[in-house]
Amino acid sequence: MTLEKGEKAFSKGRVLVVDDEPDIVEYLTTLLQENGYETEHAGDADEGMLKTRGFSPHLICMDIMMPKKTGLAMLRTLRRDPGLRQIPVMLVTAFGKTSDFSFVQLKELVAGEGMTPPDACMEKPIDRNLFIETVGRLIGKGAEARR
Amino acid sequence: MISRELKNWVREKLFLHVPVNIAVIDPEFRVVEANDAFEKTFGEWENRRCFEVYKGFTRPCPECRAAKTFSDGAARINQEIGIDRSGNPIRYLVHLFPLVRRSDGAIPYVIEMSTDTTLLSELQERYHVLFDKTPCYIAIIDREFRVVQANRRFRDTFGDPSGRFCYQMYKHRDEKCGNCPAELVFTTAHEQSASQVGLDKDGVQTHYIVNATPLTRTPIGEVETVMEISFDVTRTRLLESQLKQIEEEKIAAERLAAVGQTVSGLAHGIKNIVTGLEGGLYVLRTGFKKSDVEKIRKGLEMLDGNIARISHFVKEFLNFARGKKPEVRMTNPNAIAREVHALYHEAGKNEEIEVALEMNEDIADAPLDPDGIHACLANLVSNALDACQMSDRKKRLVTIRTLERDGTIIYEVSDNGIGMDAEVKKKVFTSFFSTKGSHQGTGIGLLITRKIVQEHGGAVSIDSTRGKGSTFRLELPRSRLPKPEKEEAANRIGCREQGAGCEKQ
Repeated sequence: MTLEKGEKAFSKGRVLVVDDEPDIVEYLTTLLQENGYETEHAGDADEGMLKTRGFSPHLICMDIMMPKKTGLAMLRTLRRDPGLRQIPVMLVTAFGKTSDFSFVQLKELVAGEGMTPPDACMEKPIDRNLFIETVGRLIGKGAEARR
Repeated sequence: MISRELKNWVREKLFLHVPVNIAVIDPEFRVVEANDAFEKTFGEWENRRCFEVYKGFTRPCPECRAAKTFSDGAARINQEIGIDRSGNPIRYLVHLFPLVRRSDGAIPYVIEMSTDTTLLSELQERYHVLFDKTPCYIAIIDREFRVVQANRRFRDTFGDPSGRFCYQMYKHRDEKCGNCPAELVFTTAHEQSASQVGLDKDGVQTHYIVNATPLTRTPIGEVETVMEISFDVTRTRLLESQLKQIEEEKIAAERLAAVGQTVSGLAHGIKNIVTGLEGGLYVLRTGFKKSDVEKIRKGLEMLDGNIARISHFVKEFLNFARGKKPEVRMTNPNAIAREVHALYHEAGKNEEIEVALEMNEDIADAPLDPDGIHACLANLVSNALDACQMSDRKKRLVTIRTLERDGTIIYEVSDNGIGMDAEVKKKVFTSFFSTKGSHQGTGIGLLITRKIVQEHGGAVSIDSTRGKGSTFRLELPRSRLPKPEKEEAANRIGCREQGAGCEKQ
């Protein structure tokens, strides 16, 4: 993994967690910090965009159903911004394979708009090992893309 | 004077001018005399034999009636087919009678008076073909309920009716049916129709729709015979019952699917809570590991909060499963719409979504469960706001509409949000989105909406196009609304204060 210049030596990378549920934010940020990541969080999509610009995360973990704007709207904004479209996005949501509005439909919706789909989808409750492994992989992928 | 002239005219001219073909035949079948009409119909007759003139034969007809009259002296009437003067076939009715009987009993001449019945015969034939070939059962029934005439289709299906009663024919019964349409026609003289189940000649059940109508009347105007035209609907009925069965199976399958979907919706709601519990435990452990009191406090707080959430969730779900009885009272349908609009107007504004209200002010009070309908509308508006949020559109709009059409009260909630495709539309009432945040819910909102609307005898429908938006419609026919529990005027409005008592927001 290649970290950019000026990053703190102990950080494996910067992750922004966007979720309107403080419990999820607390959980994910604690989990990420425990695994050596620097974190920032936002409670909605607008704040998420603000933090994206200020914090320059290597990865964004976001929920879909949030008040005001959804994760989908934020994904759209990110993908349309040439400076931000390279940031990997992981959706962390209670939508699953069995629920009606599944990841599959979400991907169709996104593909229908000609948008690059989210880089990963993680179903709640999360598998911590898989989550950390995926975070590591996506940050590595992001670094590749940035190079 | 006049009477003598008349007598002469009758004697000399009537024979010639009467519009009936008259020919006089001798025992050798020679035509010895004929009138103008005969010549006009059959042509030249002098010095010819009757079989030559009538039929173009060279020898006497095989069943010669004249020969019989010559031998027994009896008059006869017979229907014949011959050839007219132009060589065309002609049907004629012929009356034969002996002319003079001498003392020795011999008959020198037979008079044949014939009438052209070609046209009549054709009509008759056409009528018979029509009657026989009509692809439905036709029976003519007299006042004693005897089938006096029946067409081929009837005879093929129910058997030969000669002398038998209609109830024997149609139903293999020994006495008149209770709901006899023919009897009703005899008594009312008006057309009747009925759906019947009968037995064909082999005892197989036959479904038919019978139309009974007066056919002939007695001189005093009573209905003398009734014509029953019946259409076989056995196949239709069979298809109908198959269709009904399929429909029932489909409903059962849908119900099962709905249960499955509800469980999946339930699981969806629980997932969030389980994540919260897991997170709380993880944060708590991390706190212990690092002796971080703040983390320990936070972890415990998360556990507490999610335990409270799960108990609320279970209560709400049980409420739905058990079903709260609707409390129906006379309510102004628009008042509910106004309340819900007031409730979501501000919320929409915060998210840059306009929530509009369009009401038909003429809608009269109706027996409704105001809390129930309020919950339905609130659910729909909340979903509409979510649909708008997902959308990228600049002007996002949710419209709450009330109208009344043909005695049906209609609530509509339209949005110009993301819309739904057919697949999602089908499943929308089972689980669909579980939303949280400002429109917090457990994902059973639409299930509850449908249940409440059904309890009001109404239905929920959806028009939706992906990318364009959706309209959810609650249709409540007044005729099917439940009876109000209390009808006091004091409860007329019956809606709570604005914003109060709403479990959401």
